[in-house]
Amino acid sequence: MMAEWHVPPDYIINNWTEEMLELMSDKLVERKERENQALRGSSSSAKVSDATLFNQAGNLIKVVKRN
Amino acid sequence: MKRRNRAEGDKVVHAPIVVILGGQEYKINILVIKDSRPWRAKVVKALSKLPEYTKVTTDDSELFGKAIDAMLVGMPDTVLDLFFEYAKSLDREEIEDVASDAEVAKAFEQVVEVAFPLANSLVGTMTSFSQ
Repeated sequence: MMAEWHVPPDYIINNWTEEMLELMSDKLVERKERENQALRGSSSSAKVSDATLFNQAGNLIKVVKRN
Repeated sequence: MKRRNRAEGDKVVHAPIVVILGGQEYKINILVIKDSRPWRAKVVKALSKLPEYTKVTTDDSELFGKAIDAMLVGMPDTVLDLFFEYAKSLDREEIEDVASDAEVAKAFEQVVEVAFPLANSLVGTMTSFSQ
C-alpha cells in the first residue's frame, strides 16, 4: 500500500490520522476495483467487427477531394 | 454505539471533532497515528477488563461497539481518564464541573470513532488486494 501512495511508513505514522489512513485505504480499494473492471472490460471487447471499426473511424476520417 | 460518518474533507484536513460538554462546544484535535497508538492500546486494555469482552478486537466492529458501550456504563471513571488523555487541550476541572455523564459518554464515543475507524476498511483493503 505504501508503494501505491508513494509515501514511506514513517511519514504515515507521523503525519496521518487513523481516519485519514482509513479514507486512503478505501479510495485505494475503489481505484483498484475500477482498474480491474477496466481491464476486464477491455479484454472482452478487444476484437471489433469491420463494420464497427469503420463506423467509429468514419467520424474521424475526412476525405478531401483534390483536383 | 452508533457510528457517524465524518465528511471526507474533514478527514483529509484532520479537522478537529466538535463535542458538546456542559452545553458548550469544544474542539478536540485528532491525534496522528503515532500519538494515538498508545491511547488506543489503553482503550483496548480497559476493554479487556470487562468480563464479557476480554478477547474483543477491532476486527469485529459490532462487538467492538458493544464493548465500548459496556465500558461507558461499567467504567465511567476510566472513560473520563481516557477521554481527557486524548483531549489534552481541554480543561478537565472546568468541564467536570459543568458536563453531564451523558455528554462525556457521547464525546468519548466521538473520539473512539475517529481513533478506531479501521475495523472494516483494512480488512477490505487486504481482501481486495488479494483478489
